[in-house]
Amino acid sequence: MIADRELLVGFIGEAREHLSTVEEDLLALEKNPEDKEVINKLFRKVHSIKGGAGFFGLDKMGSLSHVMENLLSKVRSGEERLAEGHIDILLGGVDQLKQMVSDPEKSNDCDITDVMTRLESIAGKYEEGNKQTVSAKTLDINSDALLGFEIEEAEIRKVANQGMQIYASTVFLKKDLLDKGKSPFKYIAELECLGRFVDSYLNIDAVKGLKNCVESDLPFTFIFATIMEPDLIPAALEIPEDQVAIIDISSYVAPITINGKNGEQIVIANESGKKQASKAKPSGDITKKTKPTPTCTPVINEPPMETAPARKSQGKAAHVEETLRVHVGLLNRLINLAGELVLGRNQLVRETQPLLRQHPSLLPIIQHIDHITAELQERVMNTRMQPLSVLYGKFPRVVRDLSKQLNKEIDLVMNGDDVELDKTIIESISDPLTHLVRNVVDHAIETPEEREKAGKPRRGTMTLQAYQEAGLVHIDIIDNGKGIDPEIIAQKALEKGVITQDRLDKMSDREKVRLVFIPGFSTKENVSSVSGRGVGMDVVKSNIEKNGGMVNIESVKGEGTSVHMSLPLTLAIISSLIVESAGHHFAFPQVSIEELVRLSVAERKQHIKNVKGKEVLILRGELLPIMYLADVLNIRRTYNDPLTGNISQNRRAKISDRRQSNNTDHDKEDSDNRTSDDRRYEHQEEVIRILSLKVGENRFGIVVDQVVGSEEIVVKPVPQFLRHLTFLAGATIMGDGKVALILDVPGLGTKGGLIFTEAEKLKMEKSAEAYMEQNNDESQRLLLFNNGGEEHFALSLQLIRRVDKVDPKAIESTGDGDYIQYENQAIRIIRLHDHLAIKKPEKPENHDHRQCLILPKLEKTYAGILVENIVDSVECRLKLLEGGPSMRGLVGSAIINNKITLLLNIYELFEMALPDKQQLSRKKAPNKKNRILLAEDTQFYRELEKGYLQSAGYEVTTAEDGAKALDRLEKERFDLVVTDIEMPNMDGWKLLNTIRGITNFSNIPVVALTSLASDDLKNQGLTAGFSRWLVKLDKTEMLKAVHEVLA
Amino acid sequence: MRKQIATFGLGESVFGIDVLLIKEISRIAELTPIPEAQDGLVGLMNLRGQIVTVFDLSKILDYHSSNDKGGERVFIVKTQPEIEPFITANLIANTTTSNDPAAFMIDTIEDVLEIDESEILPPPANQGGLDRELLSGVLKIENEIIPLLDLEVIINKTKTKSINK
Repeated sequence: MIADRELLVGFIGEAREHLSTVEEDLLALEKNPEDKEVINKLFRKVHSIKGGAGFFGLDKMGSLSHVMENLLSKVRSGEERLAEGHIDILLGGVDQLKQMVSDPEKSNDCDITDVMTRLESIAGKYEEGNKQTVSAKTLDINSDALLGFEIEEAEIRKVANQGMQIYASTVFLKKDLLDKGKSPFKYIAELECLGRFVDSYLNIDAVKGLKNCVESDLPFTFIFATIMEPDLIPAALEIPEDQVAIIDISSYVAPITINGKNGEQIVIANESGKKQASKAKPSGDITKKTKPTPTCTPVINEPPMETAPARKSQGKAAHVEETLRVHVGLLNRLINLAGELVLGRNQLVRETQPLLRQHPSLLPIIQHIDHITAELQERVMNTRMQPLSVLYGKFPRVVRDLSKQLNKEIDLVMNGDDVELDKTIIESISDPLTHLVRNVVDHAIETPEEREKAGKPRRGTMTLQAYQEAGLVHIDIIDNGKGIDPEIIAQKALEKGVITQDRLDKMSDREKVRLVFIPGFSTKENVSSVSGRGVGMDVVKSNIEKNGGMVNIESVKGEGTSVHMSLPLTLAIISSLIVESAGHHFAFPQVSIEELVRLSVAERKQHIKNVKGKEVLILRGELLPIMYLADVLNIRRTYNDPLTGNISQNRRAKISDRRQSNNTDHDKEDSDNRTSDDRRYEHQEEVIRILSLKVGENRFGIVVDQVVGSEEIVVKPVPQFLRHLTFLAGATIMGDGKVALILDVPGLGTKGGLIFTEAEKLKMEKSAEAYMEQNNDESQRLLLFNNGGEEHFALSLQLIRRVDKVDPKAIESTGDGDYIQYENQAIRIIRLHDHLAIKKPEKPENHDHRQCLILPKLEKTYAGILVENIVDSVECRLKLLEGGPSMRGLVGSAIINNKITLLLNIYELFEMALPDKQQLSRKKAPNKKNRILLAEDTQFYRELEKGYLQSAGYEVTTAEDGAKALDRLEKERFDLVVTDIEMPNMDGWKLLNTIRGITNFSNIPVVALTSLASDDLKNQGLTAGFSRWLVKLDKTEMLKAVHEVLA
Repeated sequence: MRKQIATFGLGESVFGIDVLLIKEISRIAELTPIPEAQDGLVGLMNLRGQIVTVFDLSKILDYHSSNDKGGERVFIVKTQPEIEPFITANLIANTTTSNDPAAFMIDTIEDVLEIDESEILPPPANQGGLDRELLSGVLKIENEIIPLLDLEVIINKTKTKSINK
């Protein structure tokens, strides 16, 4: 008989699904051969393939799966234990099945003798033996065993027509269930997986009196319909053969229906799932051969797959997921249409806005449409999303086969297989990811012997983990193999001439490892057959980057390597930042934007500098080259006058020209222009907006006129006519229906003439250093206040815990001094004029006036400074005045906001105000004068810290950076080095390493004193060999630590 | 074989194009100019969710029109996949357009002429200041000569201009 085409397609789809998981199951079984659940799953899947294959006359497929099923059945019943070789053979069978499934038409021509022989060699004995022992009795439908059951004829007919057979079985509750640790309920549930549970009957008559009811076994008789053949039933139901009987229902089977269309053939395309039905020769290739069991004759209109056991089992394990194959082209069209619908919705909403007042009933309708449109678009977009498990599926097998071939032992751990990505992206990373996985097995993980020698566990581990973060999907491939030796990479790179010695010298180990991404780079001496030839990491990198992703590598020699990929969720929709420049809207992909910097006129002076003719933005100590978007794109930089609406060209070439251009420049202009220009400074031009963009490791700034907002945009490819414009990443249609260009950040950088070579970067850094040296002090946040007099005071905000207004009336005087209750504590009041030679507040304290209490960050110090007014908090670079006002209680003085400002030394002040409280630390002061070398580039901190240490009785020598510290160290003897981490010329890390490398000094303790307070860094620092990792400006902690280290 | 030729005005002249090559004639939507784009490319416009590249036909043809009234309408050329069926059906000669939609600015829409293919004559060396290679032929209607544009050449010209740039 001829199989219906749709049914066959259904079967093939299902078989493919089964096969994809069968492999996984087999691998799981290899790890844990005792896992009953997996064996059952496997058995059912193979069985279902066998059933389908038989039904469609795919005989070879049928016999192959039959042999496999037999073997599995034997394993399930415990007669056979799975040895490793068995798994190999079974996997071979799976491969063969896969091949046949991919081309069912030709499957009967396949040569499967080889696989069959091997399978039979392990399963054969069983088969022969079993054939003889099949002893299921055939029961007449009216037989005694069926007494008590009433089965409707229609039911029997239905079951029969689905190719099932009906069995009457008896299970003894105690013997068969309870003793095996099963509950009847669970048992029935299991049965439901294997077939259909028709009816059951518990024979209570068998219990003779209540007393016996526990001991005597209750027979539970049931009618069970399944497509399983009689010889499998006892094993499937886990009951002895004599408790199963087959019911003869042959009389109920409907006559065979034959599909009229003779010999339609089906070819199932290999990967795509596209089907092409060709009206081919009416041969009998896929004709159904009569099944050996006479009772089982399926009929087309009741597809057996519908109720086949495997199908049911799937439904049990997970919930039934119905799927429909849809052409990708159709999905893409739907996505486009959904996009257009969104656009139409936006226009509708905008146009109807004015009408809402007159027609309020419109509002709910519009909202409804709005809502549905949004949801529709989201759903449609989701149709393209696929879970990573699609990719992950093949890796266990890849890793297993490869590691066997290479005699390695590798555990593969995979996390995040439910993370979803756009289909296109999934497809595009499949090869790179496979390459990376193979790489790990081939190159990264050592042989068990090598591993043992290195003191590592024999088995290596490879971890694949995926997670979603910040709108991107991240995939890490981590191994604990031998890692990458940066020197070998560097050597190789030199040999290949891809890099100069000069550049190499300036590279860190991390950068050296990254050389593997340079095109044509492959380190493995002899290219193995395993991880491909000629295909290197550069291809991986370019493949990932082509899809808007990024890839990075980190490696610790001897410990392992980690490759990190980040990819956009979807190519079709990205979140973007819409900006305006020269009156045009542009979209920047959000992923490439690091941050948005908005500078006011005052901040501009401070943050934008001209370094060697290029404008740079100083952002937290880092220098970013900046460019005007309008300049890069060669569109006129304009100024949109907020008052007149006129657009005029901006005359200034650079932001930093602003100061010079001042008024003199404008005096030459005619007066009309001038007024508008003057106003302009008061308005829009006051603020400049810079996008800090990143290209790989490098960053640059782009100045835009306006930031319009962030928006999810549908990316449309750059039209072919514009492909030569490398600064374009695509185009999109905005809410107002206008087309906006999506800019390509790396392209933009290149276009703007930014070259991020190491040398260039170094040059920038050099000039930056030179610049920094002129202003050799770090930026500080200061609290400005006064004491009601003429003096201005400042205190570093870092030192302040809290500032609060207090009512002077609440101050209570005691013999010991003045106190105020604050946060349930008595806080000692310190007034500046009591301790410093400054003027008292002029007027007696006004009773309505509230004063300010500054609570410092000092441990166990319940005191606060009472001041009259808090003036401001500013961020500025401090330059201590030489020869300015200085006295005990002050760090020094500086000019802040054009005023001479006294910088409080809060520790000295407290010592003066609370001499008794500070005595303790004094007493701890060492008898002998220890010599401390203090390396600190910032003058302010240097002075402050020096003061602290001196006050504790140490002899302190200072150095401006690590290199100078080293000079001093070579000339003099020191007991301790206290160093800052971030310093020019030689930073704290390098200083430490150098000191440790010199035998004379290697015993000198080194303490880090830094503003970098993260725990990670701290741990890193302690591991690196710093005796202590201290945070700047905590005097108590510092002195304690210094004391301990020296003790 | 019967053919329909759409004619339109550009400056003082009238040009014709096989209707089957034209997707539609539309009013020009708001254009997004492209920085550093090649000459003649005026920008991108949104045609019902599709992004269309718009060219100034007179610039592409190096045909300087003294007339400045128009530029409000464009004709949009069918993309290669869109003309494929017509080529297969032998309704138009084998030709290549573009994969992404392109539109050309014109001044006026004139008429659709029903003609027989045999009426199309080879282009003369110089037709009204136009290069012969830009034309697929000319049509003689009464006393008027209507040049027929060769879209393949014209679209190629937009591309070569982009490479030169």
